[in-house]
This record gives sequence, C-alpha cells and structure tokens, in this order.
Amino acid sequence: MSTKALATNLLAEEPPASAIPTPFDDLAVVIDTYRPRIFRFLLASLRDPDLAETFTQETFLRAWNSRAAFRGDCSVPTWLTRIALNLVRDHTGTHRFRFWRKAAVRSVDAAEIASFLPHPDSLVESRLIAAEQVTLLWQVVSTLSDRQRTIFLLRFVDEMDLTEIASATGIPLSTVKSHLYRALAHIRKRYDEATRKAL
Amino acid sequence: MSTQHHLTHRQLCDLLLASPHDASPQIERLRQHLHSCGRCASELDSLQRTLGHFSTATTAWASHTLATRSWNSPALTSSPRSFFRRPAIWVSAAAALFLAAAVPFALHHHSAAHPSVASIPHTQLQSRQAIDQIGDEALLEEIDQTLSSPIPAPMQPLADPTAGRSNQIDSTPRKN
Repeated sequence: MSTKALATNLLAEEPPASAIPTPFDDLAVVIDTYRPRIFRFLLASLRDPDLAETFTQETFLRAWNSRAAFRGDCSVPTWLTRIALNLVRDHTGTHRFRFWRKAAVRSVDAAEIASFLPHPDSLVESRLIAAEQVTLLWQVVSTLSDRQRTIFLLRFVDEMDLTEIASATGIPLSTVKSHLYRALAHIRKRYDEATRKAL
Repeated sequence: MSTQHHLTHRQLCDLLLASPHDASPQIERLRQHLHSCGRCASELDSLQRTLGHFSTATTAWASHTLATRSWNSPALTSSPRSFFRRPAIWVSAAAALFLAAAVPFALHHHSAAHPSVASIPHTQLQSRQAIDQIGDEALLEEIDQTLSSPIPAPMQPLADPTAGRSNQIDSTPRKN
C-alpha cells in the first residue's frame, strides 16, 4: 500500500481532532517529506533496519494522534524528531531493548556502511582512506553515551542546527554544545590513536 | 590571534559547529587564524571531511535500506476504530462464535451415539454395584483378620510341601 493510500485511509477513518488546521492535515505530504529523514535518524541511532522502520511508522502515528497539540512552536521535522527521540528513549530503558541494541550493534558491519560512500571520480587510495575513516567513526560513535550519540547524529547526520537540537531534545543550548564538544573530543582522540597505529 | 598559538579543541569545535552564515566577531577571529595557520586549517579540514564522509555514507545507507522496504504500515491502521472496521475481523469473530457453539453440541451428539455407563439398564447397574460392595466387604474382613491374628501372616510357618509324609519309610524297591 502506498504512503498516500495509507494516509488517505487514516484520514477517512478519523475525524479531525480540531477545527484548527495543522500541517499534519495533509498527512501523505508530511510522510513523503519527512519519512526519509526520520528513518535515517532512527537507523543511525538504533542500527537496526526493522526497528527503525517500526519506530518511523510509530512516529507518524503518534504525530497524527497528537496533531491537535502541535502549535507551531517548532518546525514539523523538529516535532517529529522529538517524537522519534521519545520512542528511542522509552525503549532504551528496557532490558529487552538493550539486548536488541547490543545484537544490532554486533550485526551491523561498519565496513558495509562505508561501502555506501559514493566516489564518482576519486582515486582508489582516497576511497580507501575515506572508507577507513567512516568505519572508524561508525565504531567510535557506538561508544558514545546515549545522549552524546543522539546529539552528534542530529548535528552531523540530520544537519540540524544547535537551537533545533535543543528544541527537539529539550536540553539547554549550552548543554547541547557541551555534549558535542565531548563527543568530538572523544572522536578526535580515537582518530589520533588510530592514525598513530597506522603509521 | 597569533600563529604561534593553535586553536584549542573548543575553538575548533566552534568553527565546526558554526553555520557558514555565522559572522559573529568570535567566529570571524577564528577564521582569520585559519588563513594564517596551516596546521589548524588542515586539522579542521580533516575533521570536516571525516564527518562529511560519515554523513554521506549514513545517508546513502539509510536511503538504500528505505528503498528496499515497502511501506507496510500496520501501526498506522491499528487504531481501535480502524481495527473493528476490518471485515476480516468480523468474519473471524463469527467463525469463532460458531465453533464455540458447535463443538459442545457435536460432543454431546457423539456421546449419545456411543452408550456408556449412563445408558446401562438400571437393574444391571444395581447388580454391578452389589458385586462391587461384596468385594469391598470381603477385602475389609480379610484385613481385619490379618491385623487381629497373634502371629502376622509373614511370620506364619510355611505349609509342609510333603504333607507329613517325610517321616514315613519308603519301602518300595527302587528300580535303576
């Protein structure tokens, strides 16, 4: 079933929660526009495609059910990211999810992620270096704390600015910066260690 | 900022996190330092490139994964209202109800076809009960006797297998 058909079914079954129009009234457009972004964040966070897809669907379902609460204080993607983050947090707290998370981390091959790096015209050596960098960074990111990893991914994968991250996570801007400083310090340290070993 | 001093980690991060349109005096001062310090410029460039590769690879991986998946969304249609609007749910519920009613009826029918204790004539049943009662009484009486006897049954002398003939002299000649 297509996204549009699903959105149409949902809209037909549920009467509008409020008379005030919201961006979620055109659900098909919202899903088409933001699904890749939400899925990407969840996939990078969870490293489990099945779980990421389930949570992406759940994000849009929750957004639809609580659309009346959307007042436009933040952008639609920030609001959706906040919902997705809450889902991840809810599941991070359970032992079952910890097991899944560990299993997922073990199962995802960092080199496989690096293979998706496009190199249209670059030299073989450059490709190898880039692939090594991605592999290393993928491994280092998994060792960050949950909060550091979330903020790091929001900044460097979703390319959100710091105020958006603060809004989505509910963390003060100064704390967001602190987490990024620490995450980047950890990454640089590991990167230097790996470079020294290679030499 | 002189070229003698290099950027601190925090300053490098500020440059990394700043948007290209950020023209604050602090960021501008750091950018000026990069123009005159090759080492800091190289360090920042290396970090930016690594992070860029990571972002590109992750995005490409996510796009590829998403493209290989069809959007089957049970979650989006699993609200209580839509759940009960599915015809298949009602058909299944009706079938379950029918089975729940039909199975006990069929079992009852089956038991009627094969006579059991309930279908045995009354007189025959009474005689069976009487036999059972006699058997029980005999058993109880036997237990009473065993308990009241001075020598328990296991201590009783064994019956003589020769029936008292062992003392008599056998006078019949043997034939070899």
